[in-house]
Amino acid sequence: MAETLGNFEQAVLLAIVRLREDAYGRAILREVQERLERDVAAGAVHATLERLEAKGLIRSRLGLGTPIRDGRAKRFYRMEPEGIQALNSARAAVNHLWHGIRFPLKGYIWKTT
Amino acid sequence: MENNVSLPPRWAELLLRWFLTPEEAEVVLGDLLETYRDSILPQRGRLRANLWFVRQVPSYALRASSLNVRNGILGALALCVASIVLSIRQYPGLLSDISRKSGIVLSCIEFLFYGYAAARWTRPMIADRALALRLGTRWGIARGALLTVSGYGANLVGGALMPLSMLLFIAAAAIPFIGGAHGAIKTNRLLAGVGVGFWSGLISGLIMFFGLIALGYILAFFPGFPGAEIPSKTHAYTALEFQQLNVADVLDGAIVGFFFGGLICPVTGWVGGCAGLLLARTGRTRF
Repeated sequence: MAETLGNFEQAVLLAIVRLREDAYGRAILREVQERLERDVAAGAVHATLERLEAKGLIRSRLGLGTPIRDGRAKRFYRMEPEGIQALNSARAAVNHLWHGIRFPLKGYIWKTT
Repeated sequence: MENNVSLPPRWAELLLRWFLTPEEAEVVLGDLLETYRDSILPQRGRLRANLWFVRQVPSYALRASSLNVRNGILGALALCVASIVLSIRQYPGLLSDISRKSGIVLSCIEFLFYGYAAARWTRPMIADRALALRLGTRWGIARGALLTVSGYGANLVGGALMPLSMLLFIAAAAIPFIGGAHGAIKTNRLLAGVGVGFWSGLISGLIMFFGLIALGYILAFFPGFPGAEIPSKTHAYTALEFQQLNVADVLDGAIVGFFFGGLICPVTGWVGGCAGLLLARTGRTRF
């Protein structure tokens, strides 16, 4: 059975999917902020990445640093098959919930007569 | 040259390093520095960019998994010392007993050692040690809860609950053994069993300490519970004497429990680790 994902976890995983080879801390944070359209604490993304890695949904490796980082290493993330399966399950669950309902919802008015 | 000028506050960087493992700190500081120089500083100016950087420190610190254990232990140790000091201040007569005075001194030495252990060993770089810390924390919370419930049951209810309290106490005594076996089987290393025993003893000791101190004050200020100590049945005694005796009684219990628990649990964890490894060789483990 695939891992159940929260909204924020999905946002982080989808950022990794979009960024492909360039998925490291700062790029993921920027991507998540853009998609969620709000300011997100860097620590929140970092903690989520740690948790997803502990669950075996993603894998990380250390990469080289750049001058703007004063040579400090980047940690690059990539999806594991379990992560892709979890994302697919999350999407399927949402589709299933919305099945038969037209989006966007128009205002419903219950008539009691 | 530009980079030298655009450096975030050094103290905030050091603070962040203190909260994270060395490897994690390098990566996190790299990400923050890149964001700081690349987008925050040009957009917001130095003062606001520095404020942004400082604000990031708690956002990492509050979420660092190892930090929760370390800060929890350090905070609890500080509260232990504070509760002893406040009790002595409230009841100076507590220090009249020489054996209690020695117990308090020994406990303070143990508190210092545990403070050192919490500061130095709660950010393990080796997977086995990290697992021992994690398992020790879980088993320690369970043991502390059992000891506390057992103490409250025996002192506040007594009678019918005494057998259950005894049972809980025995279960709590067995936990470092089970935890040690658990750790050793998971890692296939005996030392992990000792580690689980050590951390479970420390964490359960802290939980029990606070539980008992609170119990002492309940017994002292709400007379009539079956576990309350009575100074003298033949002479009249003052309310202060009654309070002091009850606080002293549980303080002694908390100090003795904390001190010996801290010594015995790693040994029990080692014994449990031996048993766990033996079991693992027979292939009968389910952990």
